[in-house]
Amino acid sequence: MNDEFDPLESLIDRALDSYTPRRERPGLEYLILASATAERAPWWREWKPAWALAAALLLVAAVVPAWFRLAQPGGGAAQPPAIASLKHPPRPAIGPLAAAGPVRKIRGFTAPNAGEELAALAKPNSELHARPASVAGGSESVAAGPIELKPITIAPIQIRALN
Amino acid sequence: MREEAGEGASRSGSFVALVERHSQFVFRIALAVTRHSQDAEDVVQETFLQVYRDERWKRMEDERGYLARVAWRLAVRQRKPRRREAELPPEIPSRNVGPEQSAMDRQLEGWLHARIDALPEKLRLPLALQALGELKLVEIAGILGLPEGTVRRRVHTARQKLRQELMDRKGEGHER
Repeated sequence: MNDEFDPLESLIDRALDSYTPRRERPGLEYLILASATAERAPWWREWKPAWALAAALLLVAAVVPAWFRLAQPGGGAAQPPAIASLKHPPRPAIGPLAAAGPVRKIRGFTAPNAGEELAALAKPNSELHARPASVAGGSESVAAGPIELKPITIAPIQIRALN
Repeated sequence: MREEAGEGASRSGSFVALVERHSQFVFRIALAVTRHSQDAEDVVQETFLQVYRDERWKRMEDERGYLARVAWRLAVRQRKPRRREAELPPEIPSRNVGPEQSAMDRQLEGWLHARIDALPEKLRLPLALQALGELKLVEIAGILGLPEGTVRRRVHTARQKLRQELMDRKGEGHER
């Protein structure tokens, strides 16, 4: 098919030519560049490296003196400065206690005799566990051997009528 | 003002050069898709702003191809269904024809434009891009993200449809 001599094809070509006009759009470049200018980053964003450098310097200025203070001998446990001027105000007297006179002293406990304790510890076990006569009870002599336990009998409970 | 804008837009001035080189081309692509000059202008601005924002313009290899792809994508998004009927007046090439013939041609071309607008987008877009006369088939295929053969087939199908509609119209005219 030869398109050059086909009236329908040439008609379509002409229609397509005018469908996408080749006319210039005056001022288009101006519009684009103006909107690009409006899009431009704010001034502080353009100084990003300077801001980063300033922040780094501030950090160094804050950290280095503290590091030196820690590195000094005894610098780790720095004592708080004494406050000379601080004085506690006098305590107000409490009425009834002040009237009761001088406070009684509490008697101190006597310390146990360490010598007795050591002597007790030095005794053999059998001596320590021997049953003293006074504990066995009465005049009965302490018999060597096992202690006999008598069975305990409990009488059944009798319920009486209340009336 | 233009120099100020350029200075703001690009320190080296190459963004300005890029805009000057391709803005009209991008506009025509946008216009072919949107069929509305204001929408096309918006698309052109957005296209160049995108390129400017991510500083893509500094490292573009195929400027035309890249800009055409961005513009096409934005224009397709911009194109509104209500604007299927284009606002563009037909632009008739000047020929040595009488006023009557010219009026008939204008009417026929207007009708053809409406028929092109009514084509499915997958046929209309390759046809419109080809009608620009500035893009090779392989470039159109790159913009649309389609194989070259598919683009060629779609253009052919679109033309066949238009041809058929013209023949039907002529047939109707003879019947009257």
